[in-house]
Amino acid sequence: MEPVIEIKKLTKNYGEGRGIFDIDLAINKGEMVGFAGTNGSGKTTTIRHIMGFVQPTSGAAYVNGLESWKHSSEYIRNIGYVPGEIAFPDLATGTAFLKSQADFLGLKDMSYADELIQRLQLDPRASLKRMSKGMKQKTAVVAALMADPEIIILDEPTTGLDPLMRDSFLEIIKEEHQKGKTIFMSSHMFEELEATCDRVALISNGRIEHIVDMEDIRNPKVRDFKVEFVNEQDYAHFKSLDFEIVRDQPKYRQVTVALSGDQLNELFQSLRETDVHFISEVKYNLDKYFREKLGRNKEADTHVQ
Amino acid sequence: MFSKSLFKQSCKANGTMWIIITIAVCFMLSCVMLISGRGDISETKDAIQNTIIEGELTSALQKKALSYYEIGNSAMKHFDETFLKEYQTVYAGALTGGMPEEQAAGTASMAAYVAATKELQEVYVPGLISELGYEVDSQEAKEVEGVVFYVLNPMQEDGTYMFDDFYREHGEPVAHYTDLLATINDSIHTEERQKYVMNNCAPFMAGNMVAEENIQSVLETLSDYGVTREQYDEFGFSEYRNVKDIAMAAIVDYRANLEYRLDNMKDGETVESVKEDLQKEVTNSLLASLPEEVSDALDEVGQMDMYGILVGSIFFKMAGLLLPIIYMIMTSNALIAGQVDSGSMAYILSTSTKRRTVTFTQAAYLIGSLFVMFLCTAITSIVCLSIVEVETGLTWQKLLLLNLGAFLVMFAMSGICFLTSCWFDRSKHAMGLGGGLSMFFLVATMLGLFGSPILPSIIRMDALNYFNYVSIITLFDPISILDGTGVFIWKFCILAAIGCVCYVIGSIRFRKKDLPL
Repeated sequence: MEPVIEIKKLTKNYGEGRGIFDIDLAINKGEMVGFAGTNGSGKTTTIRHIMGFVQPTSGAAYVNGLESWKHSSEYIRNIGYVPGEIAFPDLATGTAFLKSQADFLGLKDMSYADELIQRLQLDPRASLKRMSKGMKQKTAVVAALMADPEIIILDEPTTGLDPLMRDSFLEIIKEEHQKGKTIFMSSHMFEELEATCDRVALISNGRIEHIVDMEDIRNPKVRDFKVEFVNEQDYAHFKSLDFEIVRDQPKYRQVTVALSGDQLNELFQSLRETDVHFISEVKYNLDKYFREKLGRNKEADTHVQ
Repeated sequence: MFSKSLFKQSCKANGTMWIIITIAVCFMLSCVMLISGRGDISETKDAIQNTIIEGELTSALQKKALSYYEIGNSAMKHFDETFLKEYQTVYAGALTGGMPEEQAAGTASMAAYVAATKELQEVYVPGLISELGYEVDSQEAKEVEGVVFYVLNPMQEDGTYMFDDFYREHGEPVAHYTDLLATINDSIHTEERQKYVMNNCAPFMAGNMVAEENIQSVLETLSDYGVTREQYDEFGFSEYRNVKDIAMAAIVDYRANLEYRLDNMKDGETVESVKEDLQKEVTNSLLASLPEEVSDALDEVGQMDMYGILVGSIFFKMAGLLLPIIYMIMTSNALIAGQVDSGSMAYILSTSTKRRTVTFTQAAYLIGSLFVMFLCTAITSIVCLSIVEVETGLTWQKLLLLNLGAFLVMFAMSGICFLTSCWFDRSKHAMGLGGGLSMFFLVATMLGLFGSPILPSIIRMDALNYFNYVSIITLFDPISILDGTGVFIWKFCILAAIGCVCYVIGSIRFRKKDLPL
């Protein structure tokens, strides 16, 4: 399948180690890819390249097979873009802004925009100058999505939204995803990427460290279970069994074991005769995954040194 | 190439400011044209002329006072020398004749006084007159003679003094040179003599100047410049006190400085040259010599089209540009750099509006809004001209050209601002450089006006003319438009070229640069 967004060896060197280096990333049609990274790690710079706002030092970004710096104006209509820093043109109200954007896009039918406004509980008649950060964010989202673009690029779209609003916003994004839109969303919050994305790329210091398939996180082959025993004998007995122990906390008589799918029955079998205080699954998540990966990288780095 | 949506957006964003500024400029213009068109202008012209004449007459009086003083002082010095020589001869003769000392001194001083007076009268003054190149019995010769003898105020044979009546008549203290002769050998004598000369020649000059026949002859020479008796009286030149004060002040000033200068003479300076320089300074003449230059200056003022200059050089070239420049600085920034700085340009560029289209549309808006602004002022100015009745060379065609010139200046400057706006990502940099430069041009033009040839030469400050060479606004030449010469055309071409080049460079730069959106 031809990727919709393809980034090849993209480098933008701002000097002094700043910028992005050798970014390789392909986003297929209908895929939703998250872009995780700390502040200043290069998320926005990468997105600017896709939008064709910045000329790469080397390498290139392609959208629908078109090189971004030269040809962005040919495909950009198909991209709904929510910039990281929300600043609107000098117009009076949100409505005026949305009308003006619709005018730019040649959009006549505002029904989808109205629906989005409804769902985000936005009052676009408010003056743009007096809007709160959240309201601005919502307005920007409506402006980006109202023309029903094929590709949606969101640069930290949920900052400034309250938790409830964030959920309904993520809901909208998920829906768009289900409609078959290609979505690229950057964020420094792993949970929201976890909840929505198909794949997540981690960028750190201008380089992509990992790209992870969310299936692997959601349905890991090996799961961790934590068991707490009521008495000491059971605890000692359990430890002697042939389970892979990840963590042992004698003080609380707790043992955490890693199990592959078919070992689950084995666990329950071995616990039948014992007094178990509780048993719970330790959720595996993106945060953990990246911490592991980065930790290992750091270790490798220190070994080299 | 052109985006209607973007143009609409720019109109909405900057329209309010445009309307306010345009109304303000048109209002100012109509005020200037209507109010100054009601005759006040010619009064100003008269006032300038009067100032020139008064200044020149005062300076002529001062000059005269100084030369009187110099003549009087030299004459008295000569008198002293003759007196001393004669005194010694007579005194020595009398002593050898067996006369007692006291009596000999009395006789000697009497004889010396008479001899010295005679020497002045018969040798010194005629010699001076011929040296100065005056005809015997001419007006000037009489004047020189008058100065010397009114200062001396010689004693007559009957023991009275010749000109006591004159001094009394004018309420001056009566002073006699004979009183000074007792201390002729003292060191303070020189200073006392100078003071004496000063106190005596100033009243003489004042009395002379206010004498009716002299006033008439001065007025006769001045009649060419349209000076009436009333004006002359108004200046105070027919009043004894006033004239004497001018003369005294000039002499005091001259004496005080002369002493200092002679003490601190530089190499290559002679006493004569120092005196000459100082006389020039004290008389502070605005023009080198009265008749020719004053008549030129007065002609210049007389021919000035004050109304045309006011509307053309003062309003359209300076005052009237201020508000449009402010509008232009703000708008050129808001159109490109401001939107890049805030990030709102992202919304425009993410709607398949090309950068080329953005610069073209924004430039079109900026140029268009300025053009319509000056179209409004053009209409206002033509309407105002048809209302006022004023003596001026302005016609509606020339007003159109003036407005076109102002527009071209704004076009060139807006090009510079547009260029900086496209060049920088930060508003403050774009505004700082482009706006700062525009304001500098305007301020330089204001300063340059005081040195520019449109001002009459006597109130012009030539040093300030250099500011005209560093301002782009100088390429707008209202004088050439008013005079109907074609010089302004090539200057217009340069302005248009500057504007075009800046707009093109700005657009290219904006197309090629990275945008932080």
